[in-house]
Amino acid sequence: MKKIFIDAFKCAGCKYCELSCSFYHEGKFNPKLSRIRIFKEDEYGIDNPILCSLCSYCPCINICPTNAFYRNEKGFMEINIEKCIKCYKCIESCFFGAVFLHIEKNIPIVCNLCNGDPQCVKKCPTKAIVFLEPNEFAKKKNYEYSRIVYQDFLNKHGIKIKSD
Amino acid sequence: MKYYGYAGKILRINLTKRDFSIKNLEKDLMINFLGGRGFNSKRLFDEIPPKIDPLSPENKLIFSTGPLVGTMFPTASRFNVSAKSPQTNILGDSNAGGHFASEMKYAGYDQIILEGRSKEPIYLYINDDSIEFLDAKHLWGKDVYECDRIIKKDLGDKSIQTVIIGPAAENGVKFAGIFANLMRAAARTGMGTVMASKNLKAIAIKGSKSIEVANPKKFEKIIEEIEEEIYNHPQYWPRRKMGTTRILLPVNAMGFLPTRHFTSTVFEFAENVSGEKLAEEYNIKVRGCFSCILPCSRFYIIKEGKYAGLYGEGPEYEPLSSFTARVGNGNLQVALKAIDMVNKLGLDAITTAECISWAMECYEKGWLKKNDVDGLDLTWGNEEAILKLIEKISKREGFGDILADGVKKAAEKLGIGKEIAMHVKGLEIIQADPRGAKGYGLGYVVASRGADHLRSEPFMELSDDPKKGEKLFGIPEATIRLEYKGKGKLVSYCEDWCAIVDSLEVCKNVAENMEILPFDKAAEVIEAATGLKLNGNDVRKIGERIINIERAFLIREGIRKEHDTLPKRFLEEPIPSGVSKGSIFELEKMLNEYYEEREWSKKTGIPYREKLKELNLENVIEQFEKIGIEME
Ligand code: SF4
Ligand code: SF4
Ligand code: SF4
Repeated sequence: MKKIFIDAFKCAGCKYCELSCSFYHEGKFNPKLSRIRIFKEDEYGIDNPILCSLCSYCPCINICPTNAFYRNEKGFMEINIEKCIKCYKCIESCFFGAVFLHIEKNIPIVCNLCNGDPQCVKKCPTKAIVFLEPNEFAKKKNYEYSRIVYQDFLNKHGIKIKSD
Repeated sequence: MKYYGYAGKILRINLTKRDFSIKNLEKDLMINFLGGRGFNSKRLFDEIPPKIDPLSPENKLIFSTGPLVGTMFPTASRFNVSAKSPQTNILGDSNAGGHFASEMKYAGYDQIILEGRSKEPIYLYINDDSIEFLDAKHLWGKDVYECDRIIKKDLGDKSIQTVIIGPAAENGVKFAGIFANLMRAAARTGMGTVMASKNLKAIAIKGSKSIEVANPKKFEKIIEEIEEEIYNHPQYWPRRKMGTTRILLPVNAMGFLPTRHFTSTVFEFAENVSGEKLAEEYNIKVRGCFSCILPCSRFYIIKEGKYAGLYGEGPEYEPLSSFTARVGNGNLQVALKAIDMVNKLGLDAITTAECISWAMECYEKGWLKKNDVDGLDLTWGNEEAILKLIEKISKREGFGDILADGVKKAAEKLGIGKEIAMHVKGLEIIQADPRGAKGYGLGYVVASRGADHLRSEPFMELSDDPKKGEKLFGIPEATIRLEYKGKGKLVSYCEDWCAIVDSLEVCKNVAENMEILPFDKAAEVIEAATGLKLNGNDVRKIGERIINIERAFLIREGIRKEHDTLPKRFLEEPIPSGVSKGSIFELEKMLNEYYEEREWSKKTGIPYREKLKELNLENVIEQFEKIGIEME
């Protein structure tokens, strides 16, 4: 199953993803209504996107006492707001802190991959987030890593790798 | 009334009394002045009486954002901060990007007005409708980075946005800036100095509100068009890779890179200090402002040598070029160190470098001797001298105390080098020789905050493409950089445009330099975002109105035609070498054309009464009449 993978070092911290997520799901602009969040520290140039990883063992689902948290027929995360008792155990249980609080409704929100058509991925200017099969992502990384391995060797022979 | 695009509220804080009020944004202000810089200039004209002392509690420090900030409009991330300037004694105003402006919108404010003066050092914590006045004794004296770290620790939240002043501001340096996201500097005209005079070290802000637009479908469509234009623009990748530093080599090649304090316009070490060099050898990561799809900021690290371990963001063309060519320094690492110091201490990089390079030229000419300058050796490019002087300026120590008032006052105080003090109206000239880019030069002459490119930024003249000038102004020379003809039209057009860009608070690189947001397009976006129905002409009129109210502020402070000029070197000495060799600045011809275009008096530089009327600036006419300023 395709997932959103993160290449944190590519992220510019522009929050364009947060804006597109909030606009798509809420019809207005507010990073604090987004299902993806960028965590930043300017001094160190840190810009780190966090969103649901669609684990196969999902602590968030397992811990939810009312079964409000579930995966729909397509395998995407959903939260049934009617059933949610606002115990926020899902927020507590997620390893990555990828369940956020909807700042207006005080309910948990989590990425549902826009039901298969992730808006944030489409809008990201740096490709720091990509929507791929795990194997495809691994291959992308493999090529990047291979360049790193070869960098010094090629430099020594005067060959410069052109950036893509 | 429900606001679209705008946050809809104005926050007014009295620092003397430690109280505040929150009022609805005035409809008048929206329609006539649009946002950001427009809001600030109007507010200053209305609320700052003429001739006040900029460092007195009477001065007001005003932050504004624009109607697109907080939305997904690409690059709408900026704010303007304005006050009467302690450096120039006229309109003070500066603009920065990053993530502060959007947070201010989410907290609910289009404008924040700071009045009075706190007795004790404080900082403000604005969290939606809650405004706290917090003790800042432990922050006083701290550099920008340290201060940011402590505030975030004290408030227990790293996601808070801040604007901060450094020790230079506290020490009364007249050209201290205000810093957002540590190194996004609103540095020109001494706005940090005003903030320090109010005993205000920082503003921390956090917001949870949403911004809605009037026509979401239309807005989305416009954004898609704009995205496509930006991504397909030929400047996209060079800007992504190098930001504005990409222009250092071309400016050098075109022969107008101010070198050794404008004694030359070609720098022999340009390659070593270029944007390319920086990108290839030092940059490790890209960073961007809020809602920007052309993230052009870069994170660098120095891995080897004396400054190994130094890292940070940027720099941009101006500081890079200032601390290399202008001061005659060919060592990129020294420049990075200088810029890091300037950021942390909270100084304006352009002005600081002008002061240092001016002193260097005086030293070369023998007007300043070693014992005049605390024993420093002010030979061009001397690392120790550059770094020591930055520190001394920030502390107002020894010779640094003289430079800390800016180059104009330093020259007056010492009685030397007045004709080579490179400023207009007290604000130091940027890194582009006006003789080699005459539209830029005219921009310095007439800009409402003193010598500055960002009021007009006639980037299109660098294309040297006569077709452009022909099409826009009916004058092919207008877009040829070494010609003087048509520059009045070019500059007034670009000034109106920049006023709109600054009022929408989008990025000038993208909106104006890359020509993504012309007046017609701006009108469309404004309507989709705010519901205000305007066409391209109406939008340009707003730009013109902003330029005129700023001019009125200057006129009221005593500025006239004779102040619209450049230092003698540019008017009398042709460029000595390089491809722009022989070029000189034809002031009178260009200025006359500009006044004609503006409908300002060629005798005095005061706007015609009819012009002010046409722009609905009746209150300016009233004011002028009251204090006896004669309009033609
Ligand atoms: S919310 Fe957290 S725990 Fe649950 S599936 Fe997503 S990443 Fe895993
Ligand atoms: S995939 Fe959709 S829901 Fe998930 S973070 Fe991206 S925009 Fe939001
Ligand atoms: S849009 Fe992409 S680059 Fe921008 S913050 Fe999100 S993940 Fe990072």
